[in-house]
Amino acid sequence: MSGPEADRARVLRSRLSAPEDASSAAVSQCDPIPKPCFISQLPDELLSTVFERVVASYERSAVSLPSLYAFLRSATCVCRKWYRVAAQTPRLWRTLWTFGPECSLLLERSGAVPLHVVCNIEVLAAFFLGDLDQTGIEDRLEYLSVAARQDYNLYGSSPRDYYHIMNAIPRQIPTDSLRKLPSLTDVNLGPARLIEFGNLIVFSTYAHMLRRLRLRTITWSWYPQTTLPENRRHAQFQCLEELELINLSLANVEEMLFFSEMPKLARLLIIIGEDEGYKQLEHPIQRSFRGTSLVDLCLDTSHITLGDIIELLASLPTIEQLGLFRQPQSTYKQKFQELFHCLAQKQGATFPMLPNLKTLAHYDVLVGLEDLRLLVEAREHFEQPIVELGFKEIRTTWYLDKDFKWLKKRVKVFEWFPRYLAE
Amino acid sequence: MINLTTSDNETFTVDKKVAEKSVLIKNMLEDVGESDQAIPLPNVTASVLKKVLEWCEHHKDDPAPPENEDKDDTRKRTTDISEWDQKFIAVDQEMLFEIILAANYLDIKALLDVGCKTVANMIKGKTPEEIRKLFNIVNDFTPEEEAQIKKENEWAEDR
Repeated sequence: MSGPEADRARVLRSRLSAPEDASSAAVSQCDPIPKPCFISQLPDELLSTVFERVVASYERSAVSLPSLYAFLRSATCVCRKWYRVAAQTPRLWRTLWTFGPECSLLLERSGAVPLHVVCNIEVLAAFFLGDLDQTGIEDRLEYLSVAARQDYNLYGSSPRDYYHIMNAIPRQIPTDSLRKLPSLTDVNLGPARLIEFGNLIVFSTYAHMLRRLRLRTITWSWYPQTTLPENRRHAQFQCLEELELINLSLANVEEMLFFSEMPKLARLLIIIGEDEGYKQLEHPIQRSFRGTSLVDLCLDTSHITLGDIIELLASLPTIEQLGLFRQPQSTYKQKFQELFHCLAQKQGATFPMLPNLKTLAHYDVLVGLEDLRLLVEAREHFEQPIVELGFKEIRTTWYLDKDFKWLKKRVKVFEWFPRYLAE
Repeated sequence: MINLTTSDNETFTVDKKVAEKSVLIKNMLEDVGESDQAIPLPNVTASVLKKVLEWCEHHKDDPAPPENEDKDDTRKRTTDISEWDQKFIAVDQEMLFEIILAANYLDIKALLDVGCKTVANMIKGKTPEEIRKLFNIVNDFTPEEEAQIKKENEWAEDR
């Protein structure tokens, strides 16, 4: 749009964005017996807060993106006040679906707030290749969520499929022309099959400030780090604090432990995929687990031997929150009693296993309320108390159980959802 | 115990812990010190203060919200409201917006949050016409402005 039409649009927009004048108030006073409009009492900042609440519930998910944009459309069409307040609340407009010029209005209205991009893998690929160039996005990008469209062939050999796009791009770009994403702190990736592990590490050179990474439905193709170019070998997410790996292939569990070496990693959640074909097998861990900064660990124990679980936990003295997950179909449920006894055992005046434990949650891990009471009692006695206990569900019949009643008085109890696997 | 006087001159005697859910009252008490004098609340009527105090009484033992709360906190990404709060806030629109304004004036963040979430839930998924009807809002756009906004919103079509 240019010339007189653009001028006209500009005048209209500035008129719409201005506070209501006395004449419009006078017009509304002339309405015949108007019904009371109580929401009009809200000052702009509170109406803006309400809008932010609506938008916040839609953000960060490709599924709710249409609802988010439908809301923005609605909010600007109700009346002049709503238009003005919505248009002048930058946080409402920060979620983009592409890096291209189609998002110019969103970019303009979002002012200087950090941006979120919820896109598919093709859009991300075009961005990395420089086909989409919207000035200013790179520096403001804070959150990135990438998902394949449902019609993508995730396993096939189509040149447009996920594997080829995701894995081809980073290595085709010369180092000096790499796009940097200095503000990117939060990434949600998946479903994505057959991602080459090395490429994820390369990705860390693009997003060296990344703090939270969530990967869903991933099957890795494992390459040793030494196959990476020399200048990218040491990137490895230096700032990464939270990592969630959901629906991961059993074959990659051990590779995932590589992430425990990230120097600042404080939260790690690993859940194996439900459709995994090796459910009944236990899988000995060969690789050592470091996790020197880890305080919050949620582990799928379905495929790990009891010996490995105990060894693992004994090597993580910094853990304060522990979640133990188990696939409902898995066997060997009884062995957990021994683990809980280990957690309650003291040596001298302290507990050798997880001395800092404050929160313990479990999902389909068979343990009696009596065992939990023994654990809480022992920890409380030696002034290293457990303050929260998480259950798959809190059954109504437990309220008559003496051990549960005792536990309820001592600790806060909560259900597994939504604290773990909220979305 | 402390006394609070509303805009319509009604005085409420309440437990200090309950009243201090309001940051405004808490700060006033800290500034004034121990006193028998009632604290005036010129922006709140008795019927609204009664509701607000009911909420404060129920939540008096809740931990205080963190000072510098991250606006992107996961909890804030939902419009979930606890069962008790849902029942509490199931009032007519006049009272709902009075509670929100009172919570804002008294600086009770958690109550303001419940109110804003409630209004957000009322708006979600509705067309502009449905929203106008729900809140009795008058469409004060000129036809020219409506056409301009429609044009502006073209980016969002079919998204």
